[in-house]
Amino acid sequence: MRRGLGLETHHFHPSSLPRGSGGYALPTVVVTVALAVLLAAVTLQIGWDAARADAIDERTVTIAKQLKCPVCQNVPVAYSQSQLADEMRQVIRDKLTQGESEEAIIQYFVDRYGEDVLLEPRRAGFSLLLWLAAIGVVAFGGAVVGIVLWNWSRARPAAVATAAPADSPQSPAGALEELFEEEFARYKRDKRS
Amino acid sequence: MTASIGTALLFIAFLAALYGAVASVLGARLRVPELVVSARNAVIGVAALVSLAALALIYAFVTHDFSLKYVVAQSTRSQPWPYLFSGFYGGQAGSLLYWSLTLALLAAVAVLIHFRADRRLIPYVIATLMAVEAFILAVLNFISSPFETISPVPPDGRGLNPLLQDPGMLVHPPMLLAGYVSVSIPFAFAIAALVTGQVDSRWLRATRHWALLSWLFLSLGNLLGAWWAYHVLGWGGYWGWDPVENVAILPWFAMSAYVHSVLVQERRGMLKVWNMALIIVAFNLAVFGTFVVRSGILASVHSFAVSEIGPYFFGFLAASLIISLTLLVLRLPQLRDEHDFDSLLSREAAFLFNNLLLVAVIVVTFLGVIFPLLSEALQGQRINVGAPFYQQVNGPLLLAVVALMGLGMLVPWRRGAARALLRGLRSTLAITALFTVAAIALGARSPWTILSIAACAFAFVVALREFHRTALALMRARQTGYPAALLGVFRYNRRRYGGYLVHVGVALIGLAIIGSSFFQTERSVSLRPGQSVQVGQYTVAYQGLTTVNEPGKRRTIAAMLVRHGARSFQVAPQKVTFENWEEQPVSEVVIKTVYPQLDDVYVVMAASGADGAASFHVFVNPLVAFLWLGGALLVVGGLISWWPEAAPVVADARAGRTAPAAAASS
Repeated sequence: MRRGLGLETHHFHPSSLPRGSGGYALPTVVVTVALAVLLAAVTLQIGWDAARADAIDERTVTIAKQLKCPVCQNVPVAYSQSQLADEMRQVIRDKLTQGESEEAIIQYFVDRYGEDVLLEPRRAGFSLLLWLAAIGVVAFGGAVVGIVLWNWSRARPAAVATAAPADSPQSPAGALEELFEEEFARYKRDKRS
Repeated sequence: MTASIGTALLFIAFLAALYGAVASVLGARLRVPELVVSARNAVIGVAALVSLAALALIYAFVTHDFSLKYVVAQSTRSQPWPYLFSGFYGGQAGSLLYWSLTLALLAAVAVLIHFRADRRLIPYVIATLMAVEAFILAVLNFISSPFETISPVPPDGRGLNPLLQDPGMLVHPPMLLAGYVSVSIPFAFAIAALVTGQVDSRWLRATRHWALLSWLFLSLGNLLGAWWAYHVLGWGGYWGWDPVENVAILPWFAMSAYVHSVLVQERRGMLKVWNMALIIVAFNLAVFGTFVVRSGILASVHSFAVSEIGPYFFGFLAASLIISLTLLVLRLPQLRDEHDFDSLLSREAAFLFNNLLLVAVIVVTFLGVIFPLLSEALQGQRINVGAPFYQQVNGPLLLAVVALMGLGMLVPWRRGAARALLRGLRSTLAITALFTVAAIALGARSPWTILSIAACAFAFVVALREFHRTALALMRARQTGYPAALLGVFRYNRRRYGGYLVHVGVALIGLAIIGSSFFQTERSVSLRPGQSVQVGQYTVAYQGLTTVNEPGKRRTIAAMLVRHGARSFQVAPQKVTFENWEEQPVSEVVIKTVYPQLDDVYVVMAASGADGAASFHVFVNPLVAFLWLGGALLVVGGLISWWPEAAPVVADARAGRTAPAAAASS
């Protein structure tokens, strides 16, 4: 059990690492179990698909979730308890029954209530700016990370590949940490002998 | 009578706050210690005066003094007494009074604790806190007073909005507001450090507990808000990325980033500018939150322009941002980092990346909150930004945060070795894989779902592994049993392992979010008595309606039977109509957690007809129970981490043996 939780290895003191004897037993078991469970899962899924709920109801909810109830604060039509939302759900259901497409129904509501009725801003026109800004933020963050990485890799070639030096106890903060790690390493040696 | 006393108290408090702000700065500049002492006394005086003003308002509520406009708006004679207290902070003026009360009390405690130890910082800490307090008191005195009177005196009040007459609302707003307010303390120390040039890590150490306290309040505020939304709003979820929710979580993200990045500065003398910037951002987000919730800015830019307090808050926010950022820029030369990063594979690097991700979440969420206003101002067309936007943008970012949270616990400070790390991770990864495969077996299909589950499982396993490893070492070193050693982990390094318990909580919350957003099943149906509906694996049968009249409200109760396999249980969703609020009936949602599946069966009565037919929303939300369990662990872990160190450690430090004390703070 202890072995299973990764105790025989320790990244602070690689020198004290035992050379794996039978250390691969666990992954093998895991893979076997995983495959068995996966097989069972696929079988189950086929059964579940057969028992799917009424399609119109589901599609009504899907559409109603994308619309904001015009008289509430940021509540989707799907869950609003207002009279208006109830009527809007009925309209969606009727239109679906008449065979209208999801896009047409949503456009119908946008025409009546304006773009404000959409919970998710469209990816066109002025709303596109928001999406671009969001992507821009993430891209900018990514660029910062990239530059930092590049600087580090230039400043310290191959530093990562070398074994970790013990955190030298020059700062008092590291001292107890150090003691603890030594104690831990000794414990593991004793356990093996 | 109460009105004039309250008004007078608030006015004197305003003058005292102004005096405190001016006297402390003069005392420091002219080197007159007596002035600084008198400024300290002014802080205590403000706390006493504002407390008395708050008591006066409570007294007015309890005695049903309807000569006060605010009491009329927030209570009725028949309102149960606990909700008289929530009436206190239910409206704009009262919640601002609560804000100023919390700030005054926290400021008094902080100034008393730090007066001697941080002598050079304290005048500017006082000045910052009192300037903020004076602003809020000015708003309370001159723009939006809770002690405004009304004539003629009405016989009864209008009453609190029924949605707010719920136990969740008794605790959620005070916690959240306290969270907003308490960010001011570390912010005030940061400003003091910038003004005095004492920009070493002293201000950070002084405010460590304050920052964590603020984080704890914000966590509790948001969790209780989620709990309230889940139990009251009746849309089957607990978090809707509503603008009000967004501005509540923004400071939480900022403080979560901050409590991590300060560790890097304390230990390695790095990220100094970053920490300053982060606390400035956190404070301004907290002010922004109060401002957004209270100014009516969200309804529309137009209602913002006519709102009484909007422009003042906006001015304050602008001034606070400009002043603090100017100070920061002027001190940049002194804020040199003492070390460079040694390696990408180090704890400080993990913290930095996690910080960057959290800041990205903050920026994107902030953009979403203000976009409707931007589009209205620039285009004349208000464009709504709802949950789908935030889910698509923040979802992946938060997923990366959780994954890095796991990795951060594994890598050592300074430099880790990739090979040793991987070798140590073999069984951790194996267990994570096992979790993931089990999730696939239970129905996870889309790559996003599987990836999210893997990330949460990884963070969860790593956190537990750290507890286990340390417990084993302690067991050996102290010759104790395993359970004692496991508890001893917290005493060995309270701050770190409290934090790891928070990480366990976050991983569980992540699983709850995955469960309830990817695996929810729902049906909206209209039923006649005797009919039933199938939702997921549950059959819900509707039996009939009853109506009960109570003082001040009318209840309509539906009787329903839920069957799941061989088991069945009765539920009774209700609809309550309050007097004076007939147009806004409140649903009393039924939530039943089914063990061991951990499914929440969530039933809402949407409407009921005269013929006994009624319409319902029925949701099956898997794993939401993990949200509350994870939330509890997060709060307990935060408390452990926050709890002041035991006396012996301090004694050691005094005796010159600084090592244990310093290490315990890592």
